[in-house]
Amino acid sequence: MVNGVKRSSGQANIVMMVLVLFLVFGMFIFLLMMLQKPPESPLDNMYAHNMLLSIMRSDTGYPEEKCKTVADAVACAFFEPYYKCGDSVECARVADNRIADLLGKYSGYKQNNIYYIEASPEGRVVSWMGSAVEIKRGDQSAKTSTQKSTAEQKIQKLFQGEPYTVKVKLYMADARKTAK
Amino acid sequence: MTKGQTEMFEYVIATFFIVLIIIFVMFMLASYQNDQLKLEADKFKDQRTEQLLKRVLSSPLLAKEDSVLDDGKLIAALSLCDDMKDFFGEKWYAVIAVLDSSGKTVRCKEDEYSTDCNTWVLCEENLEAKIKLEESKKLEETAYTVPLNVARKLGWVMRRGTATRAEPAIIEVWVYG
Repeated sequence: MVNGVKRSSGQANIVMMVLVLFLVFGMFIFLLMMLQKPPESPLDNMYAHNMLLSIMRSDTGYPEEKCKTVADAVACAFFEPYYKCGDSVECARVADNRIADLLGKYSGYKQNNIYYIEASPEGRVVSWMGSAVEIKRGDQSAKTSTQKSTAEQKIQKLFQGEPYTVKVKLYMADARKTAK
Repeated sequence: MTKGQTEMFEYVIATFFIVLIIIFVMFMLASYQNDQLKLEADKFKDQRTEQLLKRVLSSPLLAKEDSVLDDGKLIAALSLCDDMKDFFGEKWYAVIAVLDSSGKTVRCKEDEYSTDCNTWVLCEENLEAKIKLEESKKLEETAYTVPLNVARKLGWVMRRGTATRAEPAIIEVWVYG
């Protein structure tokens, strides 16, 4: 009699333990599914791509062909760094200032985002005043962020009859998810 | 308490916990399913907004080239909402704003070309319909914002056409319903 009661109580305990284990395991799987990294939004990529395109196509305010748009000024900065837009300002400074101005405008629009733009020439490097021209603007932590959107554009220009390319990259990240 | 009563009591307790666990699991699965349905609905709305945005940015009705809208075409489009509904569908409106240094919003008017204004609202009548829906609290909407350029005429003519200046701008497309 006593053994029978003990056995049924033991069985009930085992059943309960198995159920609890099953429940814990189920909850663990459920939480794991919830913690899955969300896929990169196609809209973020579209935003980054359009933003880079918009910046590169924007006018600088100088009418001459070598400085008309930001893309023209960036190419001029790398391949003809001695050229002065409006006979007064070097291409690199025009490009740099306009990129900074436009990044500021777009940052004001989406305040949680940080941006970083860098441009580098492919195949030809012209040094100016003893060093190679560099165009890097924005918050560098956008480049190192693990959750970032990247857009790339290639500017092709003819220089002395030869085609040359400048690669411009924009990194966009959410400041709240980026460790400084 | 007899052995029978004890066993019965244990079974009742065990059954109670099992039912509790089943209810809990069902609740978890139902809430997960509900979240998935909401995600699917949001995905559908996002896709519609994204498609609309892409079509607005590349449509020859508004664009000079891909992602560069023409300010003259935008002025004309202010009074052509019915025609645009045929191209882009119902229940949407778009706000295009040039990011100039003034920081002020100056709305462009129908049939009145000016380079002093900096904001165009396409399908404003839909905006009014949306406000009515908002008041009746039957509104669900999605909005997407994307940078672009607006080509503004400078007023003089060059060999290849009217001289333009590409200004940085932003477009907000709203889809509601």
